[in-house]
Amino acid sequence: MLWFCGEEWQFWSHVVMVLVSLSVAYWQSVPSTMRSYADAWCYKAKVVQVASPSVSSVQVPDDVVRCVFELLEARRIAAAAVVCPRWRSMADADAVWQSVWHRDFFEVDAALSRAIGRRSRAPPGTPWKLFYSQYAVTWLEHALVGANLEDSRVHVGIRGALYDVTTFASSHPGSADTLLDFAGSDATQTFEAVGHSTVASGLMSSMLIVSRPKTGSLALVKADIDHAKSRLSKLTLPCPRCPPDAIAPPHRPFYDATTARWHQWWPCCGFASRILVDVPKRTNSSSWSTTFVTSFWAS
Amino acid sequence: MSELVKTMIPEEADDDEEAQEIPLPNVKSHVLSKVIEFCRRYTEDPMAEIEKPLKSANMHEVVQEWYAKYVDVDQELLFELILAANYMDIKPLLDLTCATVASMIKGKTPEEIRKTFNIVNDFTPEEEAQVREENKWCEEA
Repeated sequence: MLWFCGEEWQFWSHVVMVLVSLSVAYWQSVPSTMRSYADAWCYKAKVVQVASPSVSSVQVPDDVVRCVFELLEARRIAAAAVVCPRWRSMADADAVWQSVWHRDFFEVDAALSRAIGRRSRAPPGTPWKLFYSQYAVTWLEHALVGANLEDSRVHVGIRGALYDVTTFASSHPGSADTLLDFAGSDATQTFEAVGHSTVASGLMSSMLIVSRPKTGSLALVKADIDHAKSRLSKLTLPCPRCPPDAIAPPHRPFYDATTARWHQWWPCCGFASRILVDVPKRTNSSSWSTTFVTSFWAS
Repeated sequence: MSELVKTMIPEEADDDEEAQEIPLPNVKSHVLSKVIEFCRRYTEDPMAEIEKPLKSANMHEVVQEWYAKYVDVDQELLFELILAANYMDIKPLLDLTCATVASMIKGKTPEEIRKTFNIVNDFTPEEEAQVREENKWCEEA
């Protein structure tokens, strides 16, 4: 019996050893990636024991969420800010709006920097989100400053795009003067009222400097700028360079988003003042608007 | 393709035939196999660059058919893939998955976004009214 048991034990120990060596050999033949799968399974099993919550948007790191926002149009990023406080802080981030500004105003910035002699960026203390909207509302008028002089450059704005009509003005079918009257300003209304032909529209495409950017602005910012502009337009400010003249065209206020200042220029000689025009604050603005507007005017 | 894995493989191991073991403790196995599926495809047929801003809410109009189908998965796996792509530093996969999330946001109202991602609105009613006012958008600049 003892002999038999011994024999039996020896036999089974042999079987076990063979099995172990076989499994070790198999395990070593398995590619390392497969082994890490197995490790990952163990890891998963452990996690499940600790009761893992299902993965959701909450666990996505902030910088990844910002990457998501940067894929959206500006108006969609503004809508995302309304979702919850965490999204709001990310959807208002300077990093997001700076990159979106570069994306949407790349062409505009190149053209405007030629007109104003420097590249644009948000002035210190101005959030990029606010700057984006201010820039969207004001870039065209800013680019048109002083662009009405026959002997230098003649630009007009039509439907949110910028055109160079310097060489075209003299051959304008509706007389050079009519065109020059609108030089340096947004001529959309008159252009549409006169009713230009498709031939004219085709001709215009050859004069296009900056096409209309696909953008928009925060309604509050646009309202603030429109309000300030209408207040400033009512002032009587004679050109400091030219002799007083009753028929001289009135001054034109414009907002320079890159310095957060209001300026004015005179079409009589294309002179732009560097003096900040003081504008009274809008009275019935919301608390948000007031804080923004303060940084807007105070600088 | 993964910058993380790249940094983990020692340089001298390049000509070494022996397989390297790379621990990826933060990536679950089923997610990893999905990641590898992406990398295999990418080396054969690279993904077209994703246009910014996203031109459509339909991923089939944004990237090639295969990639659009690849990200047509449930939200949990999608976020697992984002976390894996972010952790393993695989830029094209992160671009693709982020674009998918962006396509789910595109064209939706804040309520619809909350519903889609199961997000709790923890603004007070006053706060929400203010945030709405602040973010009101006008298209015509």
